[in-house]
Amino acid sequence: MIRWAILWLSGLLAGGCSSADARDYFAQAAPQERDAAILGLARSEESGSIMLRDTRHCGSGGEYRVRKGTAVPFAITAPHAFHDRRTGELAMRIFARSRAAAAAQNTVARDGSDGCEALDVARQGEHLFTQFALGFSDRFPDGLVVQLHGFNGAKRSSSRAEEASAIVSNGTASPGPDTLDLADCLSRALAPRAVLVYPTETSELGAEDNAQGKALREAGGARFAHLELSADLRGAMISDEQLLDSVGSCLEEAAA
Amino acid sequence: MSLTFVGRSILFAVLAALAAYGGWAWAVPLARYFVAAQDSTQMDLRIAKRTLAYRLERDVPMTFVLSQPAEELKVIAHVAVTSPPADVAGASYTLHFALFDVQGVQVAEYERALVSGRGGGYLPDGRARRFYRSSEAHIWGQDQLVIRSNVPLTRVEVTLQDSDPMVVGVDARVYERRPVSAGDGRAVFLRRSREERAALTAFSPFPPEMLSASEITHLASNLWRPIGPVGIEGREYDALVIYEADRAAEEAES
Repeated sequence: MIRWAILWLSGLLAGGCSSADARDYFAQAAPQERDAAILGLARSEESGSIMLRDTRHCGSGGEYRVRKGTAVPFAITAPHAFHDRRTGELAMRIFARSRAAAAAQNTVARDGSDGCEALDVARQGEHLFTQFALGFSDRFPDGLVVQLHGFNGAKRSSSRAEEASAIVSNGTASPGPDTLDLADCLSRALAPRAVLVYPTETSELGAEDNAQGKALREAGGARFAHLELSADLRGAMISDEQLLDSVGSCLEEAAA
Repeated sequence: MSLTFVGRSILFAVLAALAAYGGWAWAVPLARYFVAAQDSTQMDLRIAKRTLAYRLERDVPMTFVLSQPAEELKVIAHVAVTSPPADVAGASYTLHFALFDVQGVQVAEYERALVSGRGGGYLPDGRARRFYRSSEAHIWGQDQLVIRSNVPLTRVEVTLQDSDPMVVGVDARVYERRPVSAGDGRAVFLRRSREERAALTAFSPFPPEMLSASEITHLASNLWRPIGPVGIEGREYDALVIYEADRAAEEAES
């Protein structure tokens, strides 16, 4: 809370910055240096992409990457990069190896395990993470925002979810054709691992309260895909680049 | 009263601006609506389950490797049919199985001629109808084979040898026993869904709650899990997703 007050105040002093400003900033194809500072982000460029990151100690603003030039309109994100182990690394690797237009991950742990104040960006409707999703949606109204999460099978209440490798949801109780297409592609790519669709095949981990999913639905723009990955699958995707590329291809296909 | 050139230009500009705004605001939702409407036949169904099956190519063996040596495996197969004659009750096809031991030596082979019955795509127990979302082909009745061997097996090759002309594809799934340690049997059984527990205890006149610990452990040891073919999907083999629509829900909605 205190951090947010400081961030808001510093933004105010730097020229004023509302949620709408942040959203507009992330809607740009090439976000500029000056405005990044207003949002409390440090901007740098690396091979073919622009990186924006809250580099302060315990800075909770997040990390964002925007591809320069031609890209497929999907954003690969990890809101729990620390807590859901390896999801941040997976999101960045998928971004690097695919043609994803953008990527994002959180920069402080959701449970405070990194010694910083706990912050779950997937539940923060006003956070930069949400403004990033909305800005992406403004830029690509028919695009796809993908969130990677990780789950512990032993904590699931049904054997079906416990034995699943992935659970796909669009954040609502009505999986549309897009969600089923994505789930089908992932089923083929990850075979014979089980890929379940929420809520038709499991009642768990549907992310109906996800802040970014809600914001995107209210905005009526880009679609939202919530992917829960088992620990085994996350490990396999880290060690098997072919598997990682297969998942990336499914996401590109879903966004196309 | 007639409009001047300037008036007509302003009117045209206003109408063009309104049309542009309408296109900007409604193009994406309208496109999504039409895509969803095209898929509405399937979406109206109560989807209960999705299963992965592997399309067999005629005379090309598809290899499945077990996670550990086992003396038993299960194969489930069905045919995909298009434009079947009205008077045909089933479609026949022939599968060949080659079994290999831990040394990679072929220890047995079988050939089975099977008939998939025309049943509107319903499962043998009639509780669900199966279909492809991505194809117009109809799925006919499925066949199940349990293969037992005197020596532990590590690999099986399944080959489609022959099928009726109306059959556009034969899909197979291979299962191995789910390893369950002695102490885990009860927990494994109790964590199954209500439907799975009911299916596993269908032989018993008593409800699952009345089964003894040893009976539950025995039931848990009878669980199967799927194994996939060797190779890369799309290159060495093709995988298809089979959808199951709940029959009771379908009938309630119709």
